[in-house]
Amino acid sequence: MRASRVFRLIVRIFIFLLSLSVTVVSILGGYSAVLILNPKEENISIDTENSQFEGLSDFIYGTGDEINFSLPFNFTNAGYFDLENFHFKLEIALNYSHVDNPNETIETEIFNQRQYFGDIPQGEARSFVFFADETDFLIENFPNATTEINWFRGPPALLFYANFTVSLDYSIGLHSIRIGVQHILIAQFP
Amino acid sequence: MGSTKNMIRGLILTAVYVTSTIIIPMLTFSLIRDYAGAYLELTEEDYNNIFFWILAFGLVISGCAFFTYSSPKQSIRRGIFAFIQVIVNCLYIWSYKFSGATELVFNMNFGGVSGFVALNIQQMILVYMGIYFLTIVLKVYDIIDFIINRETIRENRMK
Repeated sequence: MRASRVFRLIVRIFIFLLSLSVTVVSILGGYSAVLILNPKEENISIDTENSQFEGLSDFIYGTGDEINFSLPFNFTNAGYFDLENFHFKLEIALNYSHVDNPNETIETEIFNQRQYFGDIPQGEARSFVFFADETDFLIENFPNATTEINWFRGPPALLFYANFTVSLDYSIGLHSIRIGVQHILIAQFP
Repeated sequence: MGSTKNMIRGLILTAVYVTSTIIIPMLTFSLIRDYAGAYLELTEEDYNNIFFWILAFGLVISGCAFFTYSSPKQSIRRGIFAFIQVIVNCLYIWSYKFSGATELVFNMNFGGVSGFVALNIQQMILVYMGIYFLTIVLKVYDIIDFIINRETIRENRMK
């Protein structure tokens, strides 16, 4: 065999091994996503029962100026690779009816934040707390308690709905996954 | 005798490429549409778009494969067609990106709660493009090698 063909053969073997390893990583990454999302294992759990939403009623009534919101959640990396760029996004919408038009329901976004929680090594379970205070809320979107909210709609007159989105990179960044749960009632008032 | 053998080899490899670049991807997307279509954020137009690009590039790749593999080994003709084939292969992989097939969004309903799972494989496609770039370099190397060593290759072929 000519020397140029020997060199070519070596490069070709290298390319073959490279594509083989990328394919194996891709397949394992896809399978890991299946393992993580397995509904029987509860690898992603949002602990809404232990969430705290302090000071909101006072804030809406105008008798307080602090809101503390915390939401614990757990994530177990049941796959084959480390999880990178783990983000948790929370959107909260306030649902109410306006005094001028009591039959119409208005939904306004009062919170929209995405927080970074780092990386989760393979096989590890981590607990996190998503925390926010009044500076993170969209204060300008809050309706006026006396001139806008129709308190006769309820109880509850105010409903708080949330969208949760978990996003992460997987398989050494080859896959990006977003998992979302939408329009969950997290609080009502009064 | 040699040309018949080359033709048969060309036809066999064309069939392999038709299967791997047209039939298997189309069957896969048809199955996805039929069995998971209700959960996916893909419209009929998106599926038609994906099918169109798979068919268009698949036919060009298969055509190139015929000319590549029916050409004599280490011939300049083979080198050029193999080079064109790798370029079209790159476009084929890239078509997955611009046809919208690299992000799949599955809408789900878990016990009355609605949600979604979105999988983006764009980065993976880009890594494969990188590997294809190395293959392009290799094909260029082949063409240069076939031109420089033309006489040696011919002598070896005659033996």
